Amino acid sequence: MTGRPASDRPLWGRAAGSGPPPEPRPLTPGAAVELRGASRWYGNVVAVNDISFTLAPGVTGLLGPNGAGKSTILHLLAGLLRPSDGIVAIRGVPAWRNPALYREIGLVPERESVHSFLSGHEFALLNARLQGLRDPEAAARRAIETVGLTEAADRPVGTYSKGMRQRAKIAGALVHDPAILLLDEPFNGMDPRQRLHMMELLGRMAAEGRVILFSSHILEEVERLAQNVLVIVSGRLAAAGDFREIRRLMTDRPHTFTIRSSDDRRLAAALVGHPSVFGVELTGGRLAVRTSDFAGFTRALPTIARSGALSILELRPTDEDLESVFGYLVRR
Amino acid sequence: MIATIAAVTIRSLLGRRRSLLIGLLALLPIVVALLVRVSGRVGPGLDEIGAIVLDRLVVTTLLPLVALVFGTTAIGAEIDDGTALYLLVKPIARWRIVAAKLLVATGLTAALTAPTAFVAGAILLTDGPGLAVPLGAAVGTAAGAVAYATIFLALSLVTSRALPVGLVYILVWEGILAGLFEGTRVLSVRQYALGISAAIAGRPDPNLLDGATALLLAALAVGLATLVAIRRLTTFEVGETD
Repeated sequence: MTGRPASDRPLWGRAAGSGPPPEPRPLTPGAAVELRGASRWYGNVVAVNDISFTLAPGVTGLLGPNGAGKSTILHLLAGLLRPSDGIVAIRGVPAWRNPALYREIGLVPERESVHSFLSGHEFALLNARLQGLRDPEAAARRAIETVGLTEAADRPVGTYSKGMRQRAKIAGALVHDPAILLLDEPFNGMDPRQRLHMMELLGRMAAEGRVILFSSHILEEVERLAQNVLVIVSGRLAAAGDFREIRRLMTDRPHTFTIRSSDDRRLAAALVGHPSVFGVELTGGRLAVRTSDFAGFTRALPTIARSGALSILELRPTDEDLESVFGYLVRR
Repeated sequence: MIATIAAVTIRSLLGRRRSLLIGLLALLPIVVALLVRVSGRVGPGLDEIGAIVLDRLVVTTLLPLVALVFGTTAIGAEIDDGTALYLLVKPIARWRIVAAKLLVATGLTAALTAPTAFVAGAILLTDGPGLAVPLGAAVGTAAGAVAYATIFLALSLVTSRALPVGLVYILVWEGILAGLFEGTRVLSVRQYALGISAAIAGRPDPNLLDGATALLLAALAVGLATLVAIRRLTTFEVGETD
Protein backbone atom coordinates (compact mmCIF):
# COMPACT_ATOMS: atom_id res chain seq x y z
CA MET A 1 0.00 0.00 0.00
CA THR A 2 1.31 3.36 -0.85
CA GLY A 3 -0.23 6.42 0.57
CA ARG A 4 -0.21 10.07 0.01
CA PRO A 5 -2.19 12.83 1.55
CA ALA A 6 -4.73 14.66 -0.51
CA SER A 7 -4.95 18.39 -0.80
CA ASP A 8 -7.93 20.08 0.75
CA ARG A 9 -10.25 20.27 -2.19
CA PRO A 10 -13.97 20.52 -1.66
CA LEU A 11 -16.01 17.36 -2.01
CA TRP A 12 -17.51 18.51 -5.26
CA GLY A 13 -16.40 21.08 -7.77
CA ARG A 14 -14.59 21.05 -11.07
CA ALA A 15 -10.90 21.48 -11.70
CA ALA A 16 -9.80 25.09 -11.81
CA GLY A 17 -10.38 26.80 -15.13
CA SER A 18 -13.27 24.65 -16.27
CA GLY A 19 -15.96 27.16 -15.39
CA PRO A 20 -18.09 27.71 -12.32
CA PRO A 21 -18.90 24.64 -10.27
CA PRO A 22 -22.32 23.19 -10.99
CA GLU A 23 -24.93 23.20 -8.25
CA PRO A 24 -24.73 19.87 -6.46
CA ARG A 25 -27.99 18.04 -6.93
CA PRO A 26 -29.51 16.18 -4.00
CA LEU A 27 -28.45 12.57 -3.77
CA THR A 28 -30.77 9.76 -4.74
CA PRO A 29 -33.09 9.20 -1.78
CA GLY A 30 -32.74 5.81 -0.14
CA ALA A 31 -29.58 4.83 -2.02
CA ALA A 32 -27.23 2.97 0.31
CA VAL A 33 -24.29 3.71 -1.93
CA GLU A 34 -23.99 6.38 -4.59
CA LEU A 35 -21.32 7.58 -6.96
CA ARG A 36 -22.25 10.70 -8.87
CA GLY A 37 -19.86 11.84 -11.59
CA ALA A 38 -17.03 10.47 -9.50
CA SER A 39 -13.52 10.68 -10.90
CA ARG A 40 -10.16 10.00 -9.46
CA TRP A 41 -6.88 10.84 -11.08
CA TYR A 42 -3.24 10.55 -10.07
CA GLY A 43 -1.37 13.41 -11.72
CA ASN A 44 -2.15 12.96 -15.40
CA VAL A 45 -3.36 9.40 -15.05
CA VAL A 46 -7.12 8.99 -14.78
CA ALA A 47 -7.95 5.90 -12.72
CA VAL A 48 -11.72 6.43 -12.54
CA ASN A 49 -13.52 8.66 -14.97
CA ASP A 50 -16.92 10.25 -14.34
CA ILE A 51 -18.69 7.22 -12.92
CA SER A 52 -22.24 7.31 -11.59
CA PHE A 53 -24.25 4.50 -10.06
CA THR A 54 -26.32 3.64 -7.02
CA LEU A 55 -26.47 0.35 -5.19
CA ALA A 56 -29.39 -1.30 -3.46
CA PRO A 57 -29.44 -4.45 -1.29
CA GLY A 58 -28.26 -7.57 -3.10
CA VAL A 59 -25.05 -8.71 -4.72
CA THR A 60 -23.51 -6.49 -7.38
CA GLY A 61 -20.45 -7.57 -9.33
CA LEU A 62 -17.84 -5.01 -10.24
CA LEU A 63 -16.43 -6.58 -13.37
CA GLY A 64 -13.49 -5.46 -15.44
CA PRO A 65 -10.00 -6.38 -16.56
CA ASN A 66 -7.02 -5.86 -14.26
CA GLY A 67 -6.11 -2.20 -13.94
CA ALA A 68 -9.57 -1.02 -15.01
CA GLY A 69 -10.12 0.96 -11.81
CA LYS A 70 -12.12 -1.53 -9.73
CA SER A 71 -9.97 -1.18 -6.63
CA THR A 72 -10.04 2.59 -6.96
CA ILE A 73 -13.84 2.52 -6.93
CA LEU A 74 -13.89 0.28 -3.85
CA HIS A 75 -11.35 2.49 -2.10
CA LEU A 76 -13.38 5.59 -2.95
CA LEU A 77 -16.48 3.93 -1.48
CA ALA A 78 -14.53 2.89 1.61
CA GLY A 79 -13.43 6.49 2.19
CA LEU A 80 -9.79 5.56 1.66
CA LEU A 81 -9.40 7.80 -1.38
CA ARG A 82 -10.56 11.35 -1.94
CA PRO A 83 -12.57 11.75 -5.15
CA SER A 84 -10.79 14.17 -7.50
CA ASP A 85 -14.22 15.18 -8.74
CA GLY A 86 -17.85 14.24 -8.16
CA ILE A 87 -19.54 12.71 -5.16
CA VAL A 88 -19.04 9.42 -3.36
CA ALA A 89 -21.65 8.94 -0.67
CA ILE A 90 -22.73 6.22 1.72
CA ARG A 91 -26.33 6.69 2.89
CA GLY A 92 -26.18 10.25 1.58
CA VAL A 93 -23.05 11.20 3.50
CA PRO A 94 -19.64 11.77 1.86
CA ALA A 95 -17.36 8.78 2.34
CA TRP A 96 -14.05 10.69 2.43
CA ARG A 97 -12.78 11.68 5.88
CA ASN A 98 -15.77 10.24 7.62
CA PRO A 99 -14.68 7.49 10.03
CA ALA A 100 -18.22 7.16 11.43
CA LEU A 101 -19.32 5.44 8.22
CA TYR A 102 -17.18 2.42 9.13
CA ARG A 103 -20.00 1.35 11.44
CA GLU A 104 -22.02 0.77 8.25
CA ILE A 105 -19.27 -0.60 6.02
CA GLY A 106 -17.17 -3.73 6.00
CA LEU A 107 -14.19 -3.74 3.66
CA VAL A 108 -12.37 -6.87 2.55
CA PRO A 109 -9.23 -5.63 0.78
CA GLU A 110 -7.44 -7.60 -1.88
CA ARG A 111 -4.09 -7.47 -0.12
CA GLU A 112 -3.18 -9.58 2.84
CA SER A 113 -4.11 -7.34 5.70
CA VAL A 114 -4.01 -9.56 8.76
CA HIS A 115 -1.06 -9.74 11.16
CA SER A 116 0.20 -13.28 10.70
CA PHE A 117 0.87 -13.70 14.43
CA LEU A 118 -2.81 -13.23 15.34
CA SER A 119 -5.16 -16.19 15.38
CA GLY A 120 -8.37 -15.96 13.37
CA HIS A 121 -10.33 -15.40 16.58
CA GLU A 122 -7.89 -12.76 17.82
CA PHE A 123 -8.19 -10.89 14.52
CA ALA A 124 -11.99 -10.93 14.64
CA LEU A 125 -11.86 -9.88 18.31
CA LEU A 126 -9.47 -7.04 17.51
CA ASN A 127 -11.87 -5.80 14.83
CA ALA A 128 -14.80 -6.09 17.23
CA ARG A 129 -12.96 -4.08 19.88
CA LEU A 130 -11.92 -1.41 17.39
CA GLN A 131 -15.55 -1.18 16.31
CA GLY A 132 -16.39 -0.42 19.93
CA LEU A 133 -18.91 -3.28 20.15
CA ARG A 134 -20.54 -3.98 23.47
CA ASP A 135 -19.75 -7.70 23.50
CA PRO A 136 -16.69 -8.11 21.30
CA GLU A 137 -16.08 -11.75 22.33
CA ALA A 138 -19.53 -12.87 21.20
CA ALA A 139 -19.34 -10.82 18.00
CA ALA A 140 -15.95 -12.31 17.14
CA ARG A 141 -17.19 -15.86 17.74
CA ARG A 142 -20.26 -15.21 15.61
CA ALA A 143 -18.21 -13.80 12.72
CA ILE A 144 -15.76 -16.71 12.83
CA GLU A 145 -18.69 -19.13 12.79
CA THR A 146 -20.33 -17.32 9.88
CA VAL A 147 -17.25 -17.78 7.70
CA GLY A 148 -16.77 -21.37 8.84
CA LEU A 149 -13.43 -20.93 10.57
CA THR A 150 -14.42 -22.15 14.04
CA GLU A 151 -12.13 -25.19 13.98
CA ALA A 152 -9.07 -23.16 12.95
CA ALA A 153 -9.99 -20.11 15.02
CA ASP A 154 -7.14 -20.50 17.50
CA ARG A 155 -4.39 -21.10 14.95
CA PRO A 156 -2.20 -18.19 13.82
CA VAL A 157 -3.35 -16.69 10.55
CA GLY A 158 0.19 -17.23 9.24
CA THR A 159 -0.55 -20.99 9.11
CA TYR A 160 -3.80 -20.54 7.12
CA SER A 161 -4.32 -21.39 3.48
CA LYS A 162 -5.09 -18.56 1.10
CA GLY A 163 -8.81 -19.33 1.25
CA MET A 164 -8.80 -19.42 5.04
CA ARG A 165 -6.99 -16.09 5.23
CA GLN A 166 -9.59 -14.64 2.91
CA ARG A 167 -12.31 -15.91 5.23
CA ALA A 168 -10.49 -14.46 8.25
CA LYS A 169 -10.47 -11.08 6.50
CA ILE A 170 -14.20 -11.42 5.84
CA ALA A 171 -14.80 -12.33 9.49
CA GLY A 172 -12.97 -9.13 10.48
CA ALA A 173 -15.12 -7.11 8.08
CA LEU A 174 -18.36 -8.76 9.25
CA VAL A 175 -17.85 -8.57 12.96
CA HIS A 176 -19.99 -5.43 13.40
CA ASP A 177 -22.75 -6.76 11.15
CA PRO A 178 -22.37 -4.02 8.49
CA ALA A 179 -25.17 -3.23 6.07
CA ILE A 180 -22.69 -2.66 3.26
CA LEU A 181 -19.92 -5.08 2.39
CA LEU A 182 -17.18 -4.19 -0.11
CA LEU A 183 -14.93 -7.00 -1.30
CA ASP A 184 -11.92 -6.60 -3.57
CA GLU A 185 -11.28 -9.75 -5.64
CA PRO A 186 -12.52 -12.05 -2.86
CA PHE A 187 -12.07 -15.22 -4.93
CA ASN A 188 -8.42 -14.70 -5.83
CA GLY A 189 -6.30 -17.70 -4.99
CA MET A 190 -9.21 -19.86 -3.84
CA ASP A 191 -9.74 -23.42 -4.96
CA PRO A 192 -13.14 -24.37 -6.46
CA ARG A 193 -14.51 -25.67 -3.17
CA GLN A 194 -13.53 -22.49 -1.35
CA ARG A 195 -15.05 -20.40 -4.13
CA LEU A 196 -18.31 -22.26 -3.80
CA HIS A 197 -18.32 -21.77 -0.06
CA MET A 198 -17.59 -18.06 -0.46
CA MET A 199 -20.34 -17.67 -3.03
CA GLU A 200 -22.82 -19.33 -0.71
CA LEU A 201 -21.72 -17.07 2.10
CA LEU A 202 -22.08 -13.88 0.04
CA GLY A 203 -25.42 -15.05 -1.33
CA ARG A 204 -26.67 -15.71 2.19
CA MET A 205 -25.55 -12.31 3.40
CA ALA A 206 -27.24 -10.60 0.46
CA ALA A 207 -30.44 -12.50 1.26
CA GLU A 208 -30.29 -10.92 4.71
CA GLY A 209 -30.66 -7.53 3.07
CA ARG A 210 -27.05 -6.41 2.81
CA VAL A 211 -25.58 -4.36 0.02
CA ILE A 212 -22.69 -6.39 -1.33
CA LEU A 213 -20.29 -5.12 -3.96
CA PHE A 214 -17.46 -7.38 -5.04
CA SER A 215 -14.87 -6.91 -7.74
CA SER A 216 -13.67 -9.57 -10.11
CA HIS A 217 -11.96 -9.90 -13.46
CA ILE A 218 -13.50 -13.30 -14.05
CA LEU A 219 -16.79 -13.34 -15.89
CA GLU A 220 -17.93 -16.71 -14.57
CA GLU A 221 -17.57 -15.65 -10.93
CA VAL A 222 -19.78 -12.66 -11.48
CA GLU A 223 -22.23 -14.69 -13.51
CA ARG A 224 -22.73 -17.21 -10.73
CA LEU A 225 -23.19 -14.74 -7.93
CA ALA A 226 -24.41 -11.34 -9.00
CA GLN A 227 -27.81 -10.32 -10.24
CA ASN A 228 -26.49 -6.90 -11.09
CA VAL A 229 -23.23 -5.99 -12.65
CA LEU A 230 -21.14 -2.91 -13.23
CA VAL A 231 -18.64 -3.33 -16.04
CA ILE A 232 -15.59 -1.08 -15.71
CA VAL A 233 -13.19 -0.62 -18.60
CA SER A 234 -10.28 1.82 -18.50
CA GLY A 235 -11.79 3.72 -15.60
CA ARG A 236 -15.18 4.16 -17.25
CA LEU A 237 -18.50 2.48 -16.57
CA ALA A 238 -18.99 0.47 -19.77
CA ALA A 239 -22.24 -1.22 -18.81
CA ALA A 240 -24.48 -1.49 -15.78
CA GLY A 241 -27.58 -3.48 -15.02
CA ASP A 242 -28.93 -6.99 -15.17
CA PHE A 243 -26.19 -9.50 -15.75
CA ARG A 244 -28.11 -11.68 -18.23
CA GLU A 245 -28.71 -8.70 -20.50
CA ILE A 246 -25.04 -7.78 -20.48
CA ARG A 247 -24.03 -11.38 -20.97
CA ARG A 248 -26.28 -11.55 -24.04
CA LEU A 249 -24.60 -8.45 -25.46
CA MET A 250 -21.25 -10.08 -24.87
CA THR A 251 -22.28 -13.38 -26.47
CA ASP A 252 -23.97 -11.83 -29.49
CA ARG A 253 -21.06 -9.65 -30.45
CA PRO A 254 -19.10 -10.59 -33.61
CA HIS A 255 -16.50 -13.25 -32.88
CA THR A 256 -13.44 -14.21 -34.87
CA PHE A 257 -12.08 -17.74 -34.87
CA THR A 258 -8.94 -19.13 -36.42
CA ILE A 259 -9.26 -22.67 -37.62
CA ARG A 260 -6.74 -25.29 -38.66
CA SER A 261 -8.23 -28.21 -40.54
CA SER A 262 -7.28 -31.03 -42.88
CA ASP A 263 -8.17 -28.76 -45.85
CA ASP A 264 -8.61 -25.09 -44.96
CA ARG A 265 -9.52 -24.06 -48.51
CA ARG A 266 -12.45 -26.50 -48.78
CA LEU A 267 -13.63 -25.68 -45.28
CA ALA A 268 -13.57 -21.96 -46.15
CA ALA A 269 -15.71 -22.61 -49.21
CA ALA A 270 -18.18 -24.65 -47.14
CA LEU A 271 -18.41 -22.02 -44.38
CA VAL A 272 -19.00 -19.06 -46.69
CA GLY A 273 -22.54 -20.22 -47.40
CA HIS A 274 -23.58 -20.61 -43.75
CA PRO A 275 -25.90 -17.87 -42.41
CA SER A 276 -23.96 -17.47 -39.12
CA VAL A 277 -20.75 -16.60 -41.00
CA PHE A 278 -20.25 -13.17 -42.43
CA GLY A 279 -16.57 -13.24 -43.27
CA VAL A 280 -13.95 -15.81 -44.22
CA GLU A 281 -10.31 -15.07 -44.78
CA LEU A 282 -7.53 -17.39 -45.80
CA THR A 283 -4.15 -15.79 -45.25
CA GLY A 284 -0.74 -17.10 -44.33
CA GLY A 285 -1.99 -20.67 -44.02
CA ARG A 286 -4.63 -19.65 -41.50
CA LEU A 287 -8.34 -19.67 -41.88
CA ALA A 288 -10.05 -16.82 -40.04
CA VAL A 289 -13.84 -16.88 -39.73
CA ARG A 290 -16.01 -14.03 -38.49
CA THR A 291 -19.43 -14.82 -37.10
CA SER A 292 -22.20 -12.78 -35.55
CA ASP A 293 -23.88 -15.81 -33.97
CA PHE A 294 -21.52 -17.44 -31.53
CA ALA A 295 -23.80 -20.30 -30.52
CA GLY A 296 -25.11 -20.95 -34.05
CA PHE A 297 -21.62 -21.10 -35.49
CA THR A 298 -20.15 -23.40 -32.88
CA ARG A 299 -23.13 -25.74 -33.36
CA ALA A 300 -22.88 -25.68 -37.15
CA LEU A 301 -19.13 -26.13 -37.53
CA PRO A 302 -18.92 -29.86 -36.71
CA THR A 303 -21.81 -30.63 -39.06
CA ILE A 304 -20.24 -28.67 -41.91
CA ALA A 305 -16.87 -30.36 -41.34
CA ARG A 306 -18.42 -33.82 -41.19
CA SER A 307 -20.43 -33.37 -44.37
CA GLY A 308 -17.26 -32.30 -46.23
CA ALA A 309 -15.24 -35.16 -44.65
CA LEU A 310 -12.92 -32.57 -43.10
CA SER A 311 -11.09 -32.80 -39.79
CA ILE A 312 -10.89 -29.80 -37.51
CA LEU A 313 -7.40 -29.79 -36.01
CA GLU A 314 -7.68 -26.57 -34.07
CA LEU A 315 -10.39 -24.03 -33.34
CA ARG A 316 -9.36 -20.94 -31.47
CA PRO A 317 -11.33 -17.79 -30.68
CA THR A 318 -8.97 -14.92 -31.42
CA ASP A 319 -10.59 -12.19 -29.39
CA GLU A 320 -11.80 -13.99 -26.29
CA ASP A 321 -9.70 -12.02 -23.85
CA LEU A 322 -11.71 -9.87 -21.48
CA GLU A 323 -10.18 -6.69 -22.79
CA SER A 324 -11.76 -7.23 -26.21
CA VAL A 325 -15.09 -8.33 -24.73
CA PHE A 326 -15.23 -5.21 -22.61
CA GLY A 327 -13.89 -3.09 -25.43
CA TYR A 328 -16.83 -4.25 -27.50
CA LEU A 329 -19.24 -3.16 -24.77
CA VAL A 330 -17.63 0.25 -24.63
CA ARG A 331 -18.08 0.76 -28.37
CA ARG A 332 -21.79 -0.18 -28.17
CA MET B 1 -9.45 1.87 22.15
CA ILE B 2 -5.94 3.30 22.34
CA ALA B 3 -4.94 0.40 24.59
CA THR B 4 -6.24 -2.14 22.04
CA ILE B 5 -4.25 -0.57 19.21
CA ALA B 6 -1.17 -0.22 21.42
CA ALA B 7 -1.30 -3.87 22.50
CA VAL B 8 -1.34 -5.18 18.92
CA THR B 9 1.38 -2.72 17.92
CA ILE B 10 3.64 -3.92 20.74
CA ARG B 11 3.13 -7.56 19.71
CA SER B 12 3.85 -6.67 16.12
CA LEU B 13 6.98 -4.65 16.94
CA LEU B 14 8.49 -7.11 19.39
CA GLY B 15 7.90 -9.99 17.00
CA ARG B 16 10.18 -8.51 14.37
CA ARG B 17 13.78 -9.62 14.00
CA ARG B 18 15.09 -6.08 13.97
CA SER B 19 13.65 -5.56 17.47
CA LEU B 20 15.82 -8.42 18.74
CA LEU B 21 18.90 -6.84 17.14
CA ILE B 22 18.02 -3.50 18.65
CA GLY B 23 17.60 -5.17 22.05
CA LEU B 24 21.09 -6.62 21.78
CA LEU B 25 22.44 -3.25 20.68
CA ALA B 26 20.95 -1.69 23.81
CA LEU B 27 23.14 -3.98 25.91
CA LEU B 28 26.33 -2.80 24.23
CA PRO B 29 26.96 0.32 26.38
CA ILE B 30 26.52 -1.81 29.53
CA VAL B 31 28.98 -4.40 28.24
CA VAL B 32 31.49 -1.65 27.41
CA ALA B 33 31.03 -0.13 30.87
CA LEU B 34 31.60 -3.51 32.52
CA LEU B 35 34.73 -4.12 30.46
CA VAL B 36 36.11 -0.73 31.50
CA ARG B 37 35.42 -1.52 35.17
CA VAL B 38 36.92 -4.99 34.90
CA SER B 39 40.05 -3.49 33.35
CA GLY B 40 40.57 -1.80 36.73
CA ARG B 41 40.74 1.79 35.57
CA VAL B 42 39.98 4.37 38.30
CA GLY B 43 40.16 8.11 38.89
CA PRO B 44 39.34 11.06 36.62
CA GLY B 45 40.02 8.95 33.52
CA LEU B 46 37.03 6.80 34.39
CA ASP B 47 34.82 9.84 34.63
CA GLU B 48 35.92 10.85 31.17
CA ILE B 49 35.22 7.39 29.75
CA GLY B 50 31.84 7.46 31.46
CA ALA B 51 30.98 10.72 29.75
CA ILE B 52 32.10 9.33 26.40
CA VAL B 53 30.05 6.14 26.82
CA LEU B 54 26.93 8.11 27.77
CA ASP B 55 27.28 10.78 25.09
CA ARG B 56 28.77 8.91 22.13
CA LEU B 57 27.45 5.43 22.69
CA VAL B 58 24.05 6.01 24.29
CA VAL B 59 22.76 9.46 23.30
CA THR B 60 24.44 9.84 19.91
CA THR B 61 24.27 6.26 18.61
CA LEU B 62 21.94 3.90 20.48
CA LEU B 63 19.12 6.34 21.21
CA PRO B 64 18.45 7.59 17.64
CA LEU B 65 18.85 4.09 16.17
CA VAL B 66 16.35 2.52 18.56
CA ALA B 67 13.96 5.42 18.00
CA LEU B 68 14.39 5.09 14.24
CA VAL B 69 13.47 1.41 14.29
CA PHE B 70 10.43 1.75 16.56
CA GLY B 71 9.32 5.14 15.21
CA THR B 72 9.33 4.14 11.56
CA THR B 73 7.94 0.65 12.19
CA ALA B 74 5.07 1.45 14.56
CA ILE B 75 2.78 2.53 11.74
CA GLY B 76 5.06 2.67 8.68
CA ALA B 77 5.52 -1.10 8.55
CA GLU B 78 1.75 -1.62 8.73
CA ILE B 79 1.27 0.79 5.87
CA ASP B 80 3.93 -1.02 3.85
CA ASP B 81 2.52 -4.51 4.38
CA GLY B 82 -1.15 -3.54 4.16
CA THR B 83 -2.08 -4.43 7.73
CA ALA B 84 -2.83 -0.75 8.47
CA LEU B 85 -6.07 -1.16 6.51
CA TYR B 86 -7.90 -2.98 9.30
CA LEU B 87 -7.15 0.03 11.48
CA LEU B 88 -8.04 2.72 8.97
CA VAL B 89 -11.51 1.32 8.25
CA LYS B 90 -12.70 1.60 11.83
CA PRO B 91 -14.89 4.30 13.38
CA ILE B 92 -11.90 5.74 15.22
CA ALA B 93 -10.65 9.31 14.91
CA ARG B 94 -7.25 9.21 13.27
CA TRP B 95 -5.62 11.19 16.07
CA ARG B 96 -6.37 8.30 18.42
CA ILE B 97 -4.52 5.93 16.10
CA VAL B 98 -1.55 8.32 16.07
CA ALA B 99 -1.71 8.61 19.86
CA ALA B 100 -1.65 4.83 20.32
CA LYS B 101 1.24 4.39 17.91
CA LEU B 102 3.19 7.24 19.54
CA LEU B 103 2.64 5.76 22.96
CA VAL B 104 4.18 2.48 21.83
CA ALA B 105 7.06 3.92 19.79
CA THR B 106 8.14 6.43 22.42
CA GLY B 107 7.51 4.02 25.30
CA LEU B 108 9.51 1.15 23.81
CA THR B 109 12.37 3.46 22.80
CA ALA B 110 12.55 4.97 26.28
CA ALA B 111 12.19 1.57 27.97
CA LEU B 112 15.12 0.22 26.01
CA THR B 113 17.48 3.21 26.17
CA ALA B 114 16.92 5.00 29.49
CA PRO B 115 17.74 1.97 31.71
CA THR B 116 20.83 1.35 29.59
CA ALA B 117 21.96 4.94 30.17
CA PHE B 118 21.33 4.57 33.90
CA VAL B 119 23.08 1.23 34.29
CA ALA B 120 26.09 2.14 32.12
CA GLY B 121 26.37 5.47 33.97
CA ALA B 122 26.06 3.81 37.37
CA ILE B 123 28.74 1.23 36.56
CA LEU B 124 31.23 3.86 35.41
CA LEU B 125 30.48 6.82 37.65
CA THR B 126 29.75 5.42 41.13
CA ASP B 127 33.08 6.71 42.43
CA GLY B 128 32.03 10.28 41.65
CA PRO B 129 28.97 12.28 42.58
CA GLY B 130 26.62 9.45 43.47
CA LEU B 131 23.74 8.58 41.17
CA ALA B 132 22.99 12.10 39.95
CA VAL B 133 24.85 11.65 36.67
CA PRO B 134 23.38 8.25 35.72
CA LEU B 135 19.95 9.52 36.72
CA GLY B 136 20.41 12.63 34.60
CA ALA B 137 21.57 10.48 31.68
CA ALA B 138 18.49 8.27 32.02
CA VAL B 139 16.05 11.21 32.13
CA GLY B 140 17.78 13.01 29.26
CA THR B 141 17.78 9.81 27.23
CA ALA B 142 14.08 9.23 27.95
CA ALA B 143 13.27 12.78 26.82
CA GLY B 144 15.37 12.24 23.69
CA ALA B 145 13.56 8.93 23.10
CA VAL B 146 10.18 10.67 23.09
CA ALA B 147 11.40 13.40 20.72
CA TYR B 148 13.24 11.10 18.31
CA ALA B 149 10.53 8.43 18.13
CA THR B 150 7.82 11.04 17.53
CA ILE B 151 9.86 12.66 14.75
CA PHE B 152 10.54 9.30 13.10
CA LEU B 153 6.90 8.23 13.35
CA ALA B 154 5.86 11.46 11.63
CA LEU B 155 8.58 10.88 9.05
CA SER B 156 7.14 7.43 8.26
CA LEU B 157 3.85 9.12 7.38
CA VAL B 158 5.57 11.71 5.20
CA THR B 159 7.75 9.37 3.14
CA SER B 160 7.75 5.65 2.41
CA ARG B 161 11.56 5.76 2.69
CA ALA B 162 11.58 6.84 6.32
CA LEU B 163 14.34 4.41 7.36
CA PRO B 164 17.08 5.64 4.97
CA VAL B 165 15.97 9.27 5.30
CA GLY B 166 16.04 8.94 9.10
CA LEU B 167 19.47 7.33 8.99
CA VAL B 168 20.88 10.20 6.91
CA TYR B 169 19.32 12.67 9.36
CA ILE B 170 20.96 10.90 12.31
CA LEU B 171 24.38 10.63 10.70
CA VAL B 172 24.60 13.95 8.89
CA TRP B 173 22.49 16.37 10.90
CA GLU B 174 22.61 15.03 14.45
CA GLY B 175 26.06 13.46 14.07
CA ILE B 176 27.95 16.22 12.30
CA LEU B 177 26.24 19.50 11.44
CA ALA B 178 24.19 20.17 14.59
CA GLY B 179 27.27 20.01 16.80
CA LEU B 180 29.38 22.32 14.66
CA PHE B 181 27.64 25.64 15.19
CA GLU B 182 26.02 27.22 18.19
CA GLY B 183 22.91 28.20 16.23
CA THR B 184 22.13 24.68 15.01
CA ARG B 185 22.12 23.31 18.55
CA VAL B 186 18.54 24.45 19.05
CA LEU B 187 17.49 22.10 16.24
CA SER B 188 19.13 18.96 17.55
CA VAL B 189 17.45 16.26 19.63
CA ARG B 190 20.87 15.06 20.77
CA GLN B 191 21.51 18.50 22.21
CA TYR B 192 18.12 18.47 23.99
CA ALA B 193 18.96 15.10 25.57
CA LEU B 194 22.44 16.23 26.64
CA GLY B 195 21.12 19.55 27.98
CA ILE B 196 18.43 17.85 30.07
CA SER B 197 20.93 15.23 31.33
CA ALA B 198 23.41 17.88 32.45
CA ALA B 199 20.72 19.92 34.21
CA ILE B 200 19.37 16.92 36.17
CA ALA B 201 22.88 15.76 37.04
CA GLY B 202 23.61 19.21 38.41
CA ARG B 203 26.54 19.69 36.05
CA PRO B 204 25.66 22.69 33.90
CA ASP B 205 27.87 22.97 30.82
CA PRO B 206 28.22 26.21 28.85
CA ASN B 207 28.67 24.16 25.68
CA LEU B 208 25.21 22.66 26.10
CA LEU B 209 21.68 24.08 26.05
CA ASP B 210 20.42 24.90 29.54
CA GLY B 211 17.91 22.42 30.94
CA ALA B 212 14.76 24.53 30.65
CA THR B 213 15.49 25.56 27.07
CA ALA B 214 16.31 21.97 26.11
CA LEU B 215 13.06 20.71 27.66
CA LEU B 216 11.00 23.42 25.99
CA LEU B 217 12.55 22.80 22.58
CA ALA B 218 12.09 19.05 22.94
CA ALA B 219 8.42 19.60 23.82
CA LEU B 220 8.06 21.87 20.79
CA ALA B 221 9.61 19.25 18.50
CA VAL B 222 7.30 16.56 19.91
CA GLY B 223 4.24 18.79 19.49
CA LEU B 224 5.10 19.73 15.94
CA ALA B 225 5.90 16.16 14.86
CA THR B 226 2.65 14.94 16.46
CA LEU B 227 0.64 17.52 14.55
CA VAL B 228 2.33 16.52 11.29
CA ALA B 229 1.63 12.84 11.99
CA ILE B 230 -2.06 13.46 12.77
CA ARG B 231 -2.46 15.68 9.72
CA ARG B 232 -0.83 13.10 7.43
CA LEU B 233 -2.87 10.18 8.75
CA THR B 234 -6.11 12.16 8.58
CA THR B 235 -5.61 12.79 4.87
CA PHE B 236 -3.95 9.46 4.23
CA GLU B 237 -4.99 7.79 1.01
CA VAL B 238 -4.64 4.12 0.20
CA GLY B 239 -2.86 3.72 -3.10
CA GLU B 240 -3.93 1.93 -6.21
CA THR B 241 -3.56 -1.84 -6.04
CA ASP B 242 -5.69 -2.67 -9.05
